[in-house]
Amino acid sequence: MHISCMQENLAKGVSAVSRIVGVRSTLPILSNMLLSTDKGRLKIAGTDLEIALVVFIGAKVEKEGSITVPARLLADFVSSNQDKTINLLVENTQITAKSDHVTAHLHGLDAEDFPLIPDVTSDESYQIKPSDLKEVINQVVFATALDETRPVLTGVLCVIHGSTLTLVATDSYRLAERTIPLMKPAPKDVSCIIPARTLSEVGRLLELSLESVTLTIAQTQVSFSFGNCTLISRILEGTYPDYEQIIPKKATTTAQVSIGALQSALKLASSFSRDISHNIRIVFIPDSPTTISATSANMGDTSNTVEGTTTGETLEIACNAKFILDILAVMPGDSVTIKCAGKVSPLMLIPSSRVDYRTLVMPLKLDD
Amino acid sequence: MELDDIWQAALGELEVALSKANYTTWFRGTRLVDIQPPQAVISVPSAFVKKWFEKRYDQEILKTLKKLTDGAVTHITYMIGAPLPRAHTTTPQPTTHAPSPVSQNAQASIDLTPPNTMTTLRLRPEYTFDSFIVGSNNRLAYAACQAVAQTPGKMHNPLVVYGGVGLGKTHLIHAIGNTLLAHNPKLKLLYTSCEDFANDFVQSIQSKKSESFKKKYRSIDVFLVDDIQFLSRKEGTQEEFFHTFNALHQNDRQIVMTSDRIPTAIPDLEGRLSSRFGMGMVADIQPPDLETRLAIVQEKATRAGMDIDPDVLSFIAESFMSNIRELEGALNKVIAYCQLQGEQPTLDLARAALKDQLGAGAKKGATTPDKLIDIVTRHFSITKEEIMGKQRNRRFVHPRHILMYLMRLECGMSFPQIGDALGGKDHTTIMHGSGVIEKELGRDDELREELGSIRTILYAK
Repeated sequence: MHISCMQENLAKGVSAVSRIVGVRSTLPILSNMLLSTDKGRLKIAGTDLEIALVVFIGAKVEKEGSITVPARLLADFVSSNQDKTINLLVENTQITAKSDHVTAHLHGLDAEDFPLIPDVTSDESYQIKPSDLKEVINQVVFATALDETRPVLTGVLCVIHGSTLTLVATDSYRLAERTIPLMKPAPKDVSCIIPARTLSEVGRLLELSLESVTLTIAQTQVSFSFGNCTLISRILEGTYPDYEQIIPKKATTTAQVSIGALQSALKLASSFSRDISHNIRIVFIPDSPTTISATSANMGDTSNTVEGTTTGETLEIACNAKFILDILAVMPGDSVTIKCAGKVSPLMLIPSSRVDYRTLVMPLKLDD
Repeated sequence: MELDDIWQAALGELEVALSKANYTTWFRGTRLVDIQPPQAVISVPSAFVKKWFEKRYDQEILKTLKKLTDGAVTHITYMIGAPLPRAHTTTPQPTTHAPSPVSQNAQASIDLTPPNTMTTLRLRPEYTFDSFIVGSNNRLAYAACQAVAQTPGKMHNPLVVYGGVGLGKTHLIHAIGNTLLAHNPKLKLLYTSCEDFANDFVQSIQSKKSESFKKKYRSIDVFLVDDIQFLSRKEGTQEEFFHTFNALHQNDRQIVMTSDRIPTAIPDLEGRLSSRFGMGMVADIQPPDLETRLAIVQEKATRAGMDIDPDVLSFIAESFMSNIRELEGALNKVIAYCQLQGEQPTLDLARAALKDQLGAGAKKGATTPDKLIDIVTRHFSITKEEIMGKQRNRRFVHPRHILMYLMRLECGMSFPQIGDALGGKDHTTIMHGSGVIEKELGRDDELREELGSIRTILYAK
């Protein structure tokens, strides 16, 4: 293989792929990335056997060929190289990288031994607007569970229905659900559970200037294709819990407050409850400001009020401020509507101006 | 050989042939799921592994499987199956919520548990009534369990099945669960071991969640509990079990329990519990007799797809008496041993395969009449002369009848042979004596237990 390409393009591709490549793999070749020429372009691929990323970049191909090289080393080398173009020459399992000021020899491994990236083939694929997808990933993925006791909860439920895509995540303490439109109606309704990490990577790689993202869902694999990238991931096995049943249908207390004001009030209160897992109390009183307070046996206490409009019954509820702050950080618009049906039922937070985003936070139990 | 055993053997060979890194990367989480000669199906955890196996390891795996199945497998298909649950790492995952234990208790969580998760996780689907082999030793228990599976909560409530280790108690209780769920998948059925019940109870106290504990156990339709003898000496748990029992029983919810002994004999079990356990039906399972054991090994051999010489089967059935698990283990070992040697099972091979077990637990050949006489006389504290004699005292007649019955069943002797062995008695006398016991067995629980304990001694030797 002999090619030359722009440092800027190579750096972008190599650093994106090196994020996917596993650091601690038992098999040495899994810490390598594959470089190979493909129809006048350079194909860069990496995998940890759960996710695979393939990136194509423009290159001047002198001689076809392929090799695998240590991912971290190549990424570091290319990103700190200041020269404009880089020349890559492969001889056996050694690659020589040459540019105006730098020469390097990297020891690689035979491309023959690199895992094959599975194809995701399905009759159906769906087109999504990149800005929509980026936003929905941002608004939902944070609510997935980190611990693996219930593997399905470490993933995001992805439901295609008619001309909409709905993503849902919950760790059983909070839940986030967002619906976005597809660019054209889907011929068939499907659903699958995608690992949270897959979506985070997609969110990171997505550039808003792109035209569309193609989502393909096959039996066991899912792929996202956009621009010159294709990300392939396994689908999580299992049945997602029927989350609809826990979304409260009616509320006894409804409050509408400014997101910014609520955020600062919660941050203030939660600094007093850092040692008791951000446990704070909120009191809603009809036609009065909302009170947010926190008491710590070690540090002291605080109480502050937030202006807003409250209707329904008076309600005192305790919850983890961090859960609410996580949600408010990604909540669109200026104002949030909070609905609740009692101090042991979940707190529902939705943007005041739209209906496509719903979040829930479970309360803490009050002792009294 | 079971599929798992074949795959274990294949993995053993492959592990040697491949490098360690390759082996652990690609073969973890793989399973052999089916063999339909000439085809074998292997389940792999991901599409990556599937592709790699097809490209790289197909020949290697095929060669190994061919060898292990005597050339029966010539083609392999790979499918992506559910990955096995990943082993937990020793370092606990940090969780974003609840850094302190206090809040963990207080944080309410969304109840996302579907009603039957626990049950579907734990009932073994292969334990059904169809796969249970009925013999005189377990007919009553089998019938009672079937009745419960047909009309839960109506007849035999509670049902207690008791018997020694490895006789099929768990098989029966799973069969009830499987049958009920097949009829009505929405049924709130909870299968748990007594141990888990106790742990759950203790945990609910620790985390102050006794309300949810009560809700969990008192709202179910069918409650299956394994190994209730573990209630022994756990007073708090007994108390909770008592209330759970009452709550369920009063609402005509079916309760099925298994125990390794009759409930009244569980030490330190409150009287109010043991009497309640006896309220419905108490059915025992005795060690299987020779015919039943033979039926079991035959069935298992057929299921394994093996055609085995009847002599070998009866050798195994004769050698392992008190425990069906051992019996199955012995059969598997013989099959595996013979496949390894690449020969059809013969009596000699079977003996060689089982020489360790035979030395340790079971005995060689069938029970001798002398030994039987010895055990029976010792059990009833009478002398050999008295049992062989003609005195028609109830104290001697009963043991004599039992001896006749056992000689026929355990030693496989004919009536005239038994007559000779007992000092020249007429064969009609023997027929009568053995018949008396057979008839009594149907209605006399005490007699059944008596025979059970004699057999236990007999097989233990």
